Amino acid sequence: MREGALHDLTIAQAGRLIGARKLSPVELTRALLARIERLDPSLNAFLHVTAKAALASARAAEKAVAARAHTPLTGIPVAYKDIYDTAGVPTTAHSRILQDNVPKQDAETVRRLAAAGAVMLGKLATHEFAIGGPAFDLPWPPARNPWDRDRFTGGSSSGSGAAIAAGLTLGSLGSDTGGSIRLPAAYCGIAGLKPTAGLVSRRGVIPLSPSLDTAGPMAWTAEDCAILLDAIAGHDPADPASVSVPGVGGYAKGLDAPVKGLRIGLLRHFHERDVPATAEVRQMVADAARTLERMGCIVEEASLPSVQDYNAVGRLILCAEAYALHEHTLRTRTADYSRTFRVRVLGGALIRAADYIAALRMRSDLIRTTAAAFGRHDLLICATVATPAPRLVEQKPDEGMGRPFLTAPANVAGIPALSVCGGFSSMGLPLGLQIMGPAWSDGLLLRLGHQFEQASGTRSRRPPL
Amino acid sequence: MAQAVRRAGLTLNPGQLADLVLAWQQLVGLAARIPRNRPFADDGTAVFRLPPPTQAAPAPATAKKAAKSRKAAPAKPVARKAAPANRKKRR
Repeated sequence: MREGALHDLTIAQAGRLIGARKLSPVELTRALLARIERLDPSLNAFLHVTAKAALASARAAEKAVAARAHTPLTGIPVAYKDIYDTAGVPTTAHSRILQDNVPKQDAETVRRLAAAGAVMLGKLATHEFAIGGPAFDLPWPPARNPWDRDRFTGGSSSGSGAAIAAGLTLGSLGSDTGGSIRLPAAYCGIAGLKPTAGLVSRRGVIPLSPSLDTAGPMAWTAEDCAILLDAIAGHDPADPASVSVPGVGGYAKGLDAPVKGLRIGLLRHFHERDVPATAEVRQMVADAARTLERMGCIVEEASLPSVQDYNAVGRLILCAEAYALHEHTLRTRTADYSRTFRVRVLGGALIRAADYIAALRMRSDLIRTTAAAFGRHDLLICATVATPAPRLVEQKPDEGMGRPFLTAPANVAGIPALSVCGGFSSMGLPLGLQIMGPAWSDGLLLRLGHQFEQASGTRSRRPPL
Repeated sequence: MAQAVRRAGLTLNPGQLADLVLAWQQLVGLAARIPRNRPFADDGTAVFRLPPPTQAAPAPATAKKAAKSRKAAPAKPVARKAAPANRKKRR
């Protein structure tokens, strides 16, 4: 195959070509490693590139294909947010604190992708411990947005968003505690799924806020997220938050099932009143609603409690739990953290137990209220972010504490939420559309996201690199 | 604030303390949105749920004797049913 086209392949396309022996995993891996070498110095998406191991995995994948022992992920290059444990490969959480940390074992999800034949290209930038970023006072610089390198990628799965959008990797695993998969997915114009809490194992993923953390897939398309989810979803008895549910899997197979007649609730108050969005974002959501109607869905107005309520609950819980996890190192190595991390987490030292418990009690109410909304609607839609990607230098350490995120409700309620590219701003920056569903409706979200991507045609546009 | 910081075991320089004040002001605002006047009994958030038993508890000696005298088969342990299902889910 022509090398120039390889980085534009989706996981689904590359998997089909590899399975048909029309594309060599070694050829694909070499092409992406060369692209990383050429483009990453200006994007800072990668913290570690594991070129030698990647080529060895690609050769093993080639043998698996020859033996007809392949899966849809055999030979597919992926990379991990640097909070996923990878045996023998540094896992730093983009922090001075773990600069020399080399895990002995893979995270469970990394193990599952390796077992499916995926090829690890390396480890990706993140906000420090999945919260402290973007920061310029760390050993590595923050990732930059491939659509405009002066702009923010979103976070905290910042390297994942940048690397996929730039065609440096075909897929990635990120983590989402308050929007950390969906925010970079929106700003970088890719797809990212925050799965239902308990669907994907978090064992071996460095925690931020254990009652809110989820691990999930990121890729160019919803279809690719479905392929990755097929490999990583399912009960892990060693993760106490993992849930054993029947019928897990078959996400990719179900993508073309009908969506006609689905009742879609439009959460207009989210981006018009609670977190006022730009005119272009509002227009994108309105256009998306019309596209869904043309697809045969029934779009109606819907409402949930204010985003500010979800945000207050989510931020208090996150801050208290993150501080508890970092208390010892914050006391002993305060200056080794970035200023952004300290601003966002140190306050947890002063949160009273009564405040934390009040937040947990209100969370129970919000979980019930959110679940009740799905009695009237199959899925809900709104903007993922209120603006296109802002400039990197405009990001402040206390971002998100004063101004709530439209992504917080899904974390607080534990429900799945998918961000897909909904359109582009007049400056050519991607805008994110968020689709939320009731617990365990991950497959339905991916189905609607996939068919929306096809109907809207947003997947044919790539960053100008 | 300095006293609260000391009580938390933190040693902060003036710049770090100023950052903490900034963060604390935001957190106070967030905490103020959360209602406190709830009924005493309204608390399902701190439930600690133990996993169900995976092995049947041994039958009391008296029950064993009675079963033996009736020559009835012993009760099937719960684990026999549960184990294959659990194994199936593992990957």
